[in-house]
Amino acid sequence: MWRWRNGFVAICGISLILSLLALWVGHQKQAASAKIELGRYLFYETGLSEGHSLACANCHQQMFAFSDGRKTAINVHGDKGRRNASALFNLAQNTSFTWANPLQTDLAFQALIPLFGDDPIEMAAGSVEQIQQRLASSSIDYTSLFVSAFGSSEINLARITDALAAFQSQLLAYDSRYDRYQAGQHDALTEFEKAGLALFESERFGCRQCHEGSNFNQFMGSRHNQATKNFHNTGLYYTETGYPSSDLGLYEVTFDAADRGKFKTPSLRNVGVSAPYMHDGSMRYLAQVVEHYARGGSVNLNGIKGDGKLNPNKSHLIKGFDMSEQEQNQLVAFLMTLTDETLLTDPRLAKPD
Amino acid sequence: MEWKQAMKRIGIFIGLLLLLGCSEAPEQRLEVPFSLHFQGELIDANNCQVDSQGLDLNATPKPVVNAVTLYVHNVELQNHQGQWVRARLQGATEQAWHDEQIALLDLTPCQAEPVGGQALPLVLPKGQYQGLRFTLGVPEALNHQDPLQAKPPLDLPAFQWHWTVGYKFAFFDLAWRENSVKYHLGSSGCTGNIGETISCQYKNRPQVSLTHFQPGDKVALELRQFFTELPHARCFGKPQDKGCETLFNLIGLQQHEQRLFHVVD
Repeated sequence: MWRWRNGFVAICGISLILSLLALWVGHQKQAASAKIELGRYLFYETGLSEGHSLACANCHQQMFAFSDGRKTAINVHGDKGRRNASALFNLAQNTSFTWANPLQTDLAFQALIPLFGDDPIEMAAGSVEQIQQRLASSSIDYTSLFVSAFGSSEINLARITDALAAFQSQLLAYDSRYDRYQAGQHDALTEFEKAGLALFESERFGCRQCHEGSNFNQFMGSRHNQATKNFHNTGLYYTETGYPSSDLGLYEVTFDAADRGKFKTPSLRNVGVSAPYMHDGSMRYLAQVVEHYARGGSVNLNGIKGDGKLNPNKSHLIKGFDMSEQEQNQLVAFLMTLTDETLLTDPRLAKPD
Repeated sequence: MEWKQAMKRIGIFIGLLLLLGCSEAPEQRLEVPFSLHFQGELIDANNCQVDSQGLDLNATPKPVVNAVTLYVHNVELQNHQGQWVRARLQGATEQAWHDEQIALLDLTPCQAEPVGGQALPLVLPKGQYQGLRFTLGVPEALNHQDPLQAKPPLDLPAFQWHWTVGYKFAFFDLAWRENSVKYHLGSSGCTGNIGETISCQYKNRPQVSLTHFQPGDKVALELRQFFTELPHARCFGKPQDKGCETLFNLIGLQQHEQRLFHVVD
């Protein structure tokens, strides 16, 4: 009798604990999805910028895999920046953010650069009080969005950047035709595209040297994936005075002369929709990009005189390769299969109604 | 009986010790005002009268000062024995422009809402002093901490240098005639990880030493020297920025004697 009763009590106790745990987990999940939802509103919110002129989404548009289709980004004053807006997806797999800054390893922190940066000015968000005022006067009910996400209505930068990072971590792109082919669906790629894939993987082309890993952005030589190994000078420029001083890439952060003209290897996923290419948007077509690597550097790119192939800082991996016109077309055709259509059309990632 | 008396004496002795320990050493306050000058002339609220084109209406064209802010710490005065004595900053004011260690000075004239103070409110042990020195910038131990958790005066995004995960120690935005000057001073050439250790090759925290300072004096910044042959001098902490040499030279970096700060009566 005693034993039976003890057992009953124990079972009751355990089920109580389990249901409390389930409630707690449920609550955490709810808070997490509320944070993502808040982040989505903030991502499309022009109130984060001076004069309500720009939202994150202006330079990171869903139809372009969250890049903007422009050569270089345009700021709140309508001025052109010096760099191409990066596409945003699979960000958890990145070792650092932005084109050439290994210090930026935290997605939430990184948002402070476009919000407050003054060289270049991007969104010019102003003071925290100004942001609070703009959000308070919005037609969107931010009070309840902040309460659901964080338990109170307080608007501060830690919460804003946390929510933005939570939303951006939802931008996933692993459902391209290439992925389906990898998963065993043989007809997901045409024979022409498969030939392009073979060229991509080939030693002769050597693309995988820098575009390794499931996101095609890791340096093969670095198994530990050290942050600075993902930055390369790819032979875009070499003028009489060296690399054009308007943008010296990694060198501007590290002050190490060997880092002149080094930029982060971008992912190749969604390249079909994220033109133009390179850190300065200097190439409009994928065929041009492929040609650049086949030659081992560019001549007079972007109207800047000189042969980047001869740049002494150029990565030794950019050696150039022979390529027929057919092979070039096959490689480009393969690159076009890396687009995840869901990322581009998923209404959960679009501007909230 | 004797031990009782002994205990009493010990008690009195301990009491005295406690009293001594609890009573504060006598202190004095000293306010050190900062001001901007151009060719020796004070730039103050009178310079705010500009015409519709933004041009100064005064006879001598003075520069337009859009911003001059400085972080200052390690403030010390020299006593008559020649020792440097550390001053602390008076208890935080309503505006919280400083804590006990670090002050944010906002010397921009014509501002409705300054973001920093215009003087260092110092507290020192009572004594006779001369000579003032201080370090520009945010101390290294605080420079790379999470700015989103920072307390005043380190909580202002405008003076955080997010791309190097640090602060803008000094910020100058000036214009004069056709020339303009935009300078951000901070630690650069940094490596490391956010949340862990970040260390910088160029710390860029100059010490400013004004040995002729007497209590009651002001510290003046002479801005004319910023306008050199470069029409648009820029130093944003990048190695290729053309204006950095002038800035470093004036502010006392790279083995230069600082020439920006002077003592005025």
